[in-house]
Amino acid sequence: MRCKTCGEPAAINMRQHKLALCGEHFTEWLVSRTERIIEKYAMFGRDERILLAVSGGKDSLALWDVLLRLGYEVEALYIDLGIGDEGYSTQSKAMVERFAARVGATDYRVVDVKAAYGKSVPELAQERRGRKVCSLCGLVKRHIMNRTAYEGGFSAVATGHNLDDEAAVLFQNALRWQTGYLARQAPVLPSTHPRLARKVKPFFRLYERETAAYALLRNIDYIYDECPYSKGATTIFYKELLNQLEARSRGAKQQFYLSFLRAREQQGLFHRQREELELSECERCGQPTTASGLCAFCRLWEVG
Amino acid sequence: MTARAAVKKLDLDPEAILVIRNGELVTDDTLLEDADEVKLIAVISGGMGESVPPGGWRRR
Repeated sequence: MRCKTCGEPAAINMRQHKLALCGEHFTEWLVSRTERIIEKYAMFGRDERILLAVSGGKDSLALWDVLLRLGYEVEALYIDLGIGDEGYSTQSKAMVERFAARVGATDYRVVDVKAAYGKSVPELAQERRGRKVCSLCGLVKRHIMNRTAYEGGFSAVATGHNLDDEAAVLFQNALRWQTGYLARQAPVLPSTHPRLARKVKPFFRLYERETAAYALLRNIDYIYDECPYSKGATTIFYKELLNQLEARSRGAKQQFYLSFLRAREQQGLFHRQREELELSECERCGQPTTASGLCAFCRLWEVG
Repeated sequence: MTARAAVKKLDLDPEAILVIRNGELVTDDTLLEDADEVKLIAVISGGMGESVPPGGWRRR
């Protein structure tokens, strides 16, 4: 198979686009496609400061690389969750540090959950038996992202979610008809409160194999190991199922997610679930919350 | 044997695998020779931590 642009041997074949490209032209293509997506979905402009949440995985580091190449004003945030003694979190942080050093990004931020709040996420989960580590982790990360973005004056928080991530979550939510989630899952979540920055996913139209290929071709070291708590995660199983569909019908994953967005927009699906919720400010941290008194994050740290 | 056939022979899903031959990323129609050094990279990642729908302020 040959590169459509130069005729050299192709490095990747994107069946859903009927497009094969060599390494050089693929990385160029991915950068300009990301730029088009950012512009088409009005994610952010060049005059805005963007906080990018990085995990040390392929998607977030590839996105960091792409946003820097495009000249956006981006600052990274790494949240040290304290997972696995000298294991997962330590290694993923090392990947972030290595990439930052390589691109000369000296001003990335690190929030160490244990140092800042007294307990790592696994310790918190152990104490709060009955709550799953992954849901606690999501809550902690969202709070820290929102707070860092607000305190740092950032316009938007970007994450490295790709199309496979989004399609798997959609599949999961549709299987259970979780209408609240189905109403809100989106590549751009506008700010609904002065303390909540816009959330954007510039890679949401890219397949996971494309972001992985980009990281490889750009020699970006990323953490291959999965978070130990995600072993056997249903999201991974759903991704495998969607890949089976994709193998039979090229473009199936993309069509599943994009036609959902279109149907919701054009036909007003889940409109009722979309109503704005009234937000008050947490008595302790000031972050928006639907509860009165303390927000869900601050309640986590209450003893007992 | 093509890269795709090799991946399938290992009972892996070609959609979820990238093939590196002699240090170069190749498409799955590439013929692999005995002397080639081949590395397979799994691309699927992510548990719920990153994939939970973000930003939803749910009613309690």
